[in-house]
Amino acid sequence: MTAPAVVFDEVSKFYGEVLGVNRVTLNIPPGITSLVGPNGSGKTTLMNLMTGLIHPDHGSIRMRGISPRDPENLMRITGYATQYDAAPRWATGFSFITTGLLLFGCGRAEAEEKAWKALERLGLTDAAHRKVAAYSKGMRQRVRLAQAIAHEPELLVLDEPLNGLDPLVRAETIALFRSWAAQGRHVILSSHVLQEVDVISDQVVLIANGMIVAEGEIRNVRDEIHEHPSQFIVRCSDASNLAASLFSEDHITEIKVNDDRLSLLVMTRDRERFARALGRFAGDGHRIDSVIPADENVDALYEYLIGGDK
Amino acid sequence: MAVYRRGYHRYQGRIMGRWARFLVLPRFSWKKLFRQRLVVLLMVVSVIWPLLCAGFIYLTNHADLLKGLPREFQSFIEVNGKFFLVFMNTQAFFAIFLSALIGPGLIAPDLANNALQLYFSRPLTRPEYALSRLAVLFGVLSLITWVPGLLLFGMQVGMAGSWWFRANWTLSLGIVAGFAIWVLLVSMVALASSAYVRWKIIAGALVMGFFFILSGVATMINGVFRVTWGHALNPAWAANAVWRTLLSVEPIEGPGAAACALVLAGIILLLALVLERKLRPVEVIK
Amino acid sequence: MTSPVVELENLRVKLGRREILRGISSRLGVSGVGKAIGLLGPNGAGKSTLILTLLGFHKPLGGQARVLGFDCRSQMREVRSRVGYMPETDSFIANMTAVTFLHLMAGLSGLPGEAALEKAHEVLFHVGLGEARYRELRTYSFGMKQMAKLAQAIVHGPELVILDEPTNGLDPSARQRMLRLVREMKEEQGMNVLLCSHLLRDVEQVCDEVVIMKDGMIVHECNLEEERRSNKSFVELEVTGDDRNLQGALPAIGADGVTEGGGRWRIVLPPKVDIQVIWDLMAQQNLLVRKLNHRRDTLEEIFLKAMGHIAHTPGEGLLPGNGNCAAQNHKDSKDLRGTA
Repeated sequence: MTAPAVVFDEVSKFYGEVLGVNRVTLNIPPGITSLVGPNGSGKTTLMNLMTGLIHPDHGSIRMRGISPRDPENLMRITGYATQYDAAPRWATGFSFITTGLLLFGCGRAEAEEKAWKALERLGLTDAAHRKVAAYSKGMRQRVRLAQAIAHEPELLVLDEPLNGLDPLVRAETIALFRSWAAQGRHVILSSHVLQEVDVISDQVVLIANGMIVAEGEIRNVRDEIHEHPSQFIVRCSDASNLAASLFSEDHITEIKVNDDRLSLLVMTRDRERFARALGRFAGDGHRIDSVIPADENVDALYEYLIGGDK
Repeated sequence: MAVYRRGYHRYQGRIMGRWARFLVLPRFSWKKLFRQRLVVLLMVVSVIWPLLCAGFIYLTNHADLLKGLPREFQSFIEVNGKFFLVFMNTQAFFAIFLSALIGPGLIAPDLANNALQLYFSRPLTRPEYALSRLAVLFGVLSLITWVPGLLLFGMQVGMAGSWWFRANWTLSLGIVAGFAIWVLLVSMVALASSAYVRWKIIAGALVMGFFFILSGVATMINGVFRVTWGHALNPAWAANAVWRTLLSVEPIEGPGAAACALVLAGIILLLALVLERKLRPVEVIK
Repeated sequence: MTSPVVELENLRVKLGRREILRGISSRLGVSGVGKAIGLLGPNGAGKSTLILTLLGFHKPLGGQARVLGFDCRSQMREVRSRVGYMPETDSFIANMTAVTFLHLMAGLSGLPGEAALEKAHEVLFHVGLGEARYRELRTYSFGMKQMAKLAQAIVHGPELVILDEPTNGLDPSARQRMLRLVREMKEEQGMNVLLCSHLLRDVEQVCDEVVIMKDGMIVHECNLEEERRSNKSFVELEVTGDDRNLQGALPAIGADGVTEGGGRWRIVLPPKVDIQVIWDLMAQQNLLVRKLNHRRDTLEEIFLKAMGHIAHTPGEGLLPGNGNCAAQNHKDSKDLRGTA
């Protein structure tokens, strides 16, 4: 039995003349998936399409087998946390979540219990009975997350969930996402902090100008980009000599020597042969201090595929 | 041949003194205001009455021209306290309209998007900010109130001669002081309205409403309780009472000038307090 | 004789009924040299309150705060004329063009008329808003408004620029541009920067010193420059090939290590052992090296330790007598720039 997936099939959405997304095709397995792209690239549109808040002009969507045109069923298994800061003015943290749960049809006791559990998970028990309007920015972010997870959804769609959170809460929230993903659920989030995306995501979806630029596991995506040779940073006490030796290898396309003459930026078309060559040179007396792959991360992917000024 | 490295360099030159810096905000506002056609139009209209008054002064000082006019008219046009009172009453109304037009755009834009913290991270205190906004209004309103008033006074002195000056020099003080109080009041109302209401049209309506509503309230109080002290709550009436005393014109029945001046001062103080509450760069939530 | 940029002496600040800053003392930065100071801490630690106190928006309950030698409350004017502030919240005047806005701000900071206009244009080009500078600020996108906020903070060439979450909400290219601008500010223009951020990687990239706050107190101060020059603590290794025997082979070279799976290893070398032994070992085990890196404590680990979440940072815990962060919990002022 195949794992349930989030499937987009040639989906387009325009707001009048304004482009939302253009011919998007996706197949997202369970786990943590990050949506990455510049502002205005269509991330929020994608998320709204996933939760059925808007409907596509063309194409079809299936969220773990359920269509967003069936909100009764979809919203039961979906939790959505937007990036916009809006809670009813009368709401305390606790009542905000409880009310949402009551709308799901939970009984009062069950709703309160679940709400409390969600608040505990996000560390908001102290502030639960204070008005949301009096919360700090980080707390408002957390209460939004809490209401998204309160009903234990199979599918979490989160728009910039870590924005404004301090490092401790970030780490805790990431741990929460990981535990969720380990249970076979979908956690789809958008983020601008690429180093974090690198560390926490199982899959990544890069989107720009309303179109999907890349999709899949980060390393696999990197492997598929052939136009750009792999980059490595090599530190060595006699870098110039090492560079000379490396030039004799035919898979090396470019070597840059750093100003301090202690490290090299090496570009190679064949990672395996490069690793062998390094092993050989290390044995031959070149004292190689460190070897670091420079572009197997989302930062590099972003730059190659989406670009942007530097 | 030379290659120039031009780009951003940190400014390390002269810094201006306090007064020059104080004028920066008013200068910006004035420049922006006088580009607006409606403002210029209203100012031109506000000058019509002073011009007419100038005409009257010319007539009274040239008796030969008067000969042709009816008797009642001749006694009507005499340049004294009453003349200037009528002048002030009219210009006072224009002052309200003008401040209703100008006022709303002064503070609301700064509050709408949290710009106050940018102002106050510079060497500018809250009183300085408020005063500079006040200065904008003061400057513009002065141009249609005591400045033409003094010019008319000067014109009369020039035509009538020094004996007239010796007899009536207190009038000049009365004009300036009287208008100063009025302009201050009107400016404060406009600033307070701008600080609390974001939409310019509504803020402007609020400025005008302030005066008309209070006048209605005053009349109601007088009618219901059968007293006359209600008039003190009507800023226009109160100002009028104060002017009458300053210009040595006989007062109307009702609260005296001193009481009215006190009420006016009280209103101005209240408005200042109300304004101060809004001018905080940082909100402290308890 | 060096003087600090920010000097705090038992500073206490109360907001409403709560005492937010509870007696902090510190000396940060070096006046006259362009350095960046990072201000870190969980939400509610008092970072914003500290910044606002430095700007003179809050009055201290007790103690003293001095910026560039001037007292923050009694010499507020002198402080504010030498400081630029980029607030975290959205802050602009909607119906002004960027040029007018910058022109006004420069004038308010005391620049004479023509210079103010010149600098307004210069700084707008510098932050990348050159093409859009004649448009009204309300038409700007979020990233552009952030840049405009930065522009008004530096237009008057202040000695100290205070940035509160400058990269918040910026997409990756804009973030890189912002960080590059901050680096240029301190390196090329010689300004001091006080950077407040939750993104530890941004702080690591840009800052020379770091101050960590918690519950209204300073719990840790760290000189990142010294950290970067420190001894390498342990080795991160990633190999391709069959690494099942590697664990057993490590003790032979006197090393200890643990695997994270997928060919990833963390190995501690005894002191004075050359990296060459690793290469020899790899050749011996017929493994290809994909990644070989000497690890120092990241700022994240330093932060977690300061918060009490972990007992030791990896670098500290594995080898005794290793730790280049000056000072632990401290109450009296500590001179970070000190002799070393």
